[in-house]
Amino acid sequence: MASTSYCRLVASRSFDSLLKRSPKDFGSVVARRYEKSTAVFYEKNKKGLERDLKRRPLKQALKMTFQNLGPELKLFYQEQKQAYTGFPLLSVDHGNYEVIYTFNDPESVKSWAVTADRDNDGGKSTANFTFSKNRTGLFHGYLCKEVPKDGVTKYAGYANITSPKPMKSFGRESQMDWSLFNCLLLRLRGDGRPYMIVIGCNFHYDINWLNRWSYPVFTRGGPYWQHVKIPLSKFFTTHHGRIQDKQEFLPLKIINSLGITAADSAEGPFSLEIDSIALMNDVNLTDKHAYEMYENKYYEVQC
Amino acid sequence: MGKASLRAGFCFSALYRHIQTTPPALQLTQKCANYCHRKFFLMSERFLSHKRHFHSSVILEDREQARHHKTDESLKERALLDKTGNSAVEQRPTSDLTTTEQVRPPKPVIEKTESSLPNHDPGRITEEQRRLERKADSLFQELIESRGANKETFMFAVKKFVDREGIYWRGAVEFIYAGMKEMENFGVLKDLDSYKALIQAFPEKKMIPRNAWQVEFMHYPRHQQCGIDMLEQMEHNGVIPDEAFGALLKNRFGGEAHVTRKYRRMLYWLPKFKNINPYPIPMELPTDPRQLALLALRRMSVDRESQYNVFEAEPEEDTFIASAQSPTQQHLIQQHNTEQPLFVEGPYPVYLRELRQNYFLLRAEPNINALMKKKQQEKAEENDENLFEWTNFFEDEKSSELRPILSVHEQDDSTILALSITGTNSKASAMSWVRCLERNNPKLARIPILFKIQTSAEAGQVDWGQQAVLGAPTNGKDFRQVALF
Repeated sequence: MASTSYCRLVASRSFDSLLKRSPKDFGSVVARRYEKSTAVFYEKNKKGLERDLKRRPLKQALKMTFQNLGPELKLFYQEQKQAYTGFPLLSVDHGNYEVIYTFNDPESVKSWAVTADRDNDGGKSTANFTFSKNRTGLFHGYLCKEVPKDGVTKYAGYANITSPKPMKSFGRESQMDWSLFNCLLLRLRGDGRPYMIVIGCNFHYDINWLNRWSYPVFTRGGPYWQHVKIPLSKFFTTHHGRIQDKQEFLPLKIINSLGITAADSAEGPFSLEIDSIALMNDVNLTDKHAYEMYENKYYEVQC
Repeated sequence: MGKASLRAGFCFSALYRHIQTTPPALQLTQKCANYCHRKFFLMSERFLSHKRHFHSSVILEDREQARHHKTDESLKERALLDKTGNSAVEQRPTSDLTTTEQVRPPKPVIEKTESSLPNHDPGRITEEQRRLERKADSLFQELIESRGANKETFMFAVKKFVDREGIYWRGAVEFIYAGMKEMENFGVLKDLDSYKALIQAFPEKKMIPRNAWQVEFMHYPRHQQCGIDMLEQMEHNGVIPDEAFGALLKNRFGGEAHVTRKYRRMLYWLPKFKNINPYPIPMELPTDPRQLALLALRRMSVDRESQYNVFEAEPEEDTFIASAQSPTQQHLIQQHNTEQPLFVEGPYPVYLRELRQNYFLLRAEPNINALMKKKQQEKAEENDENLFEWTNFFEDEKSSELRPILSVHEQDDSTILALSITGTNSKASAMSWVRCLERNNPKLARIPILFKIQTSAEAGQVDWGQQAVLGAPTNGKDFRQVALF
């Protein structure tokens, strides 16, 4: 949640200010997390991190390749078989649904990635995603609003769980096709906080990597289960967590990940119990996109 | 060439068209066009008549000579000045190439951790800026001491600043940042009027960009960033700006600046998201804990028939028990087997926006027979084998067939029988709640009840009756704090 500043961008671009600095300061201008602005398009990796992602040492990578060659080939064979003999789903009726994530075994819960701002030195919140006694996934932890004193971070307190990316054989990234469905169904119970559902897509170019589509899910608190239905048209475009002026419809054919974020401003413990997440087709939902998508005559920034 | 330059002029004007043309921007384009025309005419004249060309060139030469003379004279004057008096003090060589470096006073060293304002490079904070910050801070502190921290004082502080700095508007950014920081002390964090007052610490008209370049390259960047930060603070506190706020902003930054764009964005999105919560919470929560407890209970219980009661404790103790139970739940207790125990669990947290309360629940083990029956019925509905076993309309349809097998309270993990929020969240209060429930549920006295009350060290970890496993062991510190709260 580091703040981004236009002011800073302009300052670092002008050559004059660079020359005024001592050579010691020079390093701080070039590669610092807070020097980055939203107006810079370059992304180093798909996670949007400044640092390089860890890579396996070559020796280990080679070893793993040979070890996994058999199972991966088998997977590849199955994929090809499915591609040539499997019958594709062409349409679904009203009310048909497909469960995409269930948490009825510990493995499915373990495969989700849990992040909190503590992991990125952005605060002191903690989070955990565990398999509960009721055979559900329990997303719980503590949201701490205390801002670290680094002079850059302005807000703190978030926790997130994200689904594993669909993978094909040989470690290739894959994607899901949601285009037959038009709403998201969730069975959950929470503690009265709002949570944000975040959908990510498998984009090719780096300017799109951090595009996410989000919509809040409101919990009522208490011991009763909630069945939440959110039309996919309601999801709004965000980039780097900021809502965008130019809205786009969720590209349903290249869905990559689904996450749930707890980042409301209430400090304290949070808990959200999730039973399953499904997709449904509802013929009564005719909206393509819930927000205005008109274009300005001169293609300038809308709003 | 003339044609090309004309085309260039046209392109420029087309470029400008996408931003609302302010008068200065228009002037600039016109000037450009005029210049092109004049050059074009000069050239055509040159081609048309040799004589005139000669004439004009002569004139040009004359002009250039005159200019040279002028510069010479000015040089002479300067030399004279140097000779007459203060030349010894400031001997400046005329050539630019040999300028001696000016000796500047050393820059004050300020540590990075000392950075005071957000979004500003700590290395570039000057001593003057720090002085202005201290001045702004002290203005607020003095007024808090003399008048107390309230909305009127805050308004007065802004008025005092405007009166004092109304001419040069020195330290406006520092004042506004100090004001933003102090808003919580003054209790005006969610008050639109105070934000309207605070934005008036910026001068009017001075910072309005005059052309497209100024707009895009962040005219008055520190001031605009300050404005953006202020709007973000409003956004975080759920304050939606109105037209009057926009007018104030437009008078200061113009209609196209980045701050104003942020304002327009907020005006577009925030009202859209204002009412999307299907379980709404009032903007201003009541201060009475009983009302708050009832609000949370109403939000939690799904049964519309639920009855809400507030049981008061003895007059010496100022505590209460708010309870929610529906007739269906009473009926379930009445039907409960006296050999099987009921459970009181809690306290589990429930939030009303930023406010946290804890609730207890009375529950029974799930009704497995009924659940199995429901599962079977669902399976039968899905099954296609009995597709042709239609019931014809001569058969009687029993009304009990349409009734749902399970009530909303009978969930597959437990049957919920009552909910409560108590003033103290203690085990004693939970026990007295059960005694209160016995008035409407006489059978409760005969059913064994187990209390699964979390100790204060664990409080806050909701696990629906399971052992909590939490991330890092250092967390314990946080949770103990919570327990105190």
